[in-house]
Amino acid sequence: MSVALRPRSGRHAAERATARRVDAAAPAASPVAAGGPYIGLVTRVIAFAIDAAVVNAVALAVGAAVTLALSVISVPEEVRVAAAAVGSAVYLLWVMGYFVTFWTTTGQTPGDRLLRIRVVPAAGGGLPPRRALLRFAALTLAALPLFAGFALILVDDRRRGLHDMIARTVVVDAPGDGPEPPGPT
Amino acid sequence: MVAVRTVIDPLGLGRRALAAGERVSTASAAASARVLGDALQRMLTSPRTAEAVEAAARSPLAARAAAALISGPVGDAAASAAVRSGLVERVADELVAAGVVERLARRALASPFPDEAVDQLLAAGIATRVVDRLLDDGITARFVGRILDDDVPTEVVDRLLADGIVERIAGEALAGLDHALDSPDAERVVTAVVRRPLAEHALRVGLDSGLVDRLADTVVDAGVVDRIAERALATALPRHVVDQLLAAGVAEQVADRMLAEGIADHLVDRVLEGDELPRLSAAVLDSPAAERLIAQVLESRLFDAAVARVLASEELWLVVDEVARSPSVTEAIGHQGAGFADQVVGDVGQRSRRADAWLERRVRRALHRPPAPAGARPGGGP
Repeated sequence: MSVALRPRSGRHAAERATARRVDAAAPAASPVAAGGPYIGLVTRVIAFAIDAAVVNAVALAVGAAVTLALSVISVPEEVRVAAAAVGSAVYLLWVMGYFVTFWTTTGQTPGDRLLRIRVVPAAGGGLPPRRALLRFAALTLAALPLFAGFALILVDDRRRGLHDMIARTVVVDAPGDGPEPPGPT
Repeated sequence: MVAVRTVIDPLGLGRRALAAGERVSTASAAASARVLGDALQRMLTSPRTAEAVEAAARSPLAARAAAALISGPVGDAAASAAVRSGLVERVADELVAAGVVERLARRALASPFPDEAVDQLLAAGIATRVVDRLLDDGITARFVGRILDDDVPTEVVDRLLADGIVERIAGEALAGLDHALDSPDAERVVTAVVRRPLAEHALRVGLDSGLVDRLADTVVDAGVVDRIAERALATALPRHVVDQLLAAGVAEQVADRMLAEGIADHLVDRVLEGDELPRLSAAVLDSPAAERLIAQVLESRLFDAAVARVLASEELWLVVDEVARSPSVTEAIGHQGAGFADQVVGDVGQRSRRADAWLERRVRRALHRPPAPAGARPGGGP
């Protein structure tokens, strides 16, 4: 099973070369080494739950304010439907922007920071925005088959989930509490 | 062998005459003493004596004589000689032993003389100078140490804290005053001397001439204060004097005057600037008497009542509100809260990492996979 999870050596070398090229284009290098210790499923779930709480709390507050405002304004049904569609798009952008921004800038979402963990490229350095965006998309993909993509964390030697493998990232311990931005904000 | 005395005086008339002479002289001395005592008693009980004393006290001649005696060299010489010869100490011993000091203190406290004397002393700055000398020579430290060793403060506080102690002290003071007033003639004589301008004049002259200063210096230099204090503290005098002073309110009057004249400020400045305070504080705090005193106060009902009263006061909560709003306190609380949150987060992180390892071991065991490499474990290497 582990063999199936591990890329072939030639492809792995190509990926690493690509990663080096992308990392070279990244704004700055992370001072945190990607060597571990790697963080397991329970800690990452707790951190993700905290992030989800923050994201949804903000979204609920904004949504409640908008809904309250629309409740006193007489708008046609079509406008309401359009507003709901726009709201959904804004919500998606907000969630995506939240994770991508934090992973790109500090490598730590607020939940990660509380649990003192950090997302870094497997090859080290800072995480570029494109790979952060790819990681977010892969995160969604890993959740689709009943979160089976996350179960890989339990059996992988570097505790990587499907999204980590796709984005070539690892989640490591960050004992230092101070923010150490790997790149510009 | 026949003695020569037998030959000269065979009947012993000479010895008998000598014995008779001794008896006569003894009887005459006793009679003279009785007569003199009676005369003195009559003189004291006679209203004319008080009138004579009063007239003498009023006369300018007496005032001039007192001024000359005090301001002249005779006063200094007499004071120095009295100190050098130990007369002051012996007289003090006698006065203390005979209870004269106690009676005099009781009688003086009943008259206006203490108030006037305190006014004069404070106005002339004598108290300040004497306090400076006492502090410079370390007499105060030794005196306080001796008092602490004798448990005098403990006993005083014990008495003050006991139920009805103030009423009892007042009753005793009144009884003592009644006893003093039982001899109206002596009281009249003392009052005539004390209330007349002669005493005030003599006091003023003494202060102006510097005699009190010089006398204080002489007494302090000769160590008389130390020795007299040592002996006086060995008797019951301090406790009785404290009782009388508390009952008469003298301490409050002196404190009021010292505060009004600014002497208390000077004294506080002097004490704070000198090195006597640390030494004195260390001696007081190290003494078992202070420990017993504090324990006694803390266990008393008076302390509980005082705490309850303070807690019920509105001013206390105003102060508490003011302190709680201060930036330093809010900053300290913020730091404390942040530290606590940090500790909680760290604890959660450690527990979650242990849960990571536990869950991973179970899954790997179920899938018959080898354990995770060291780099995957918490605290493991890369």
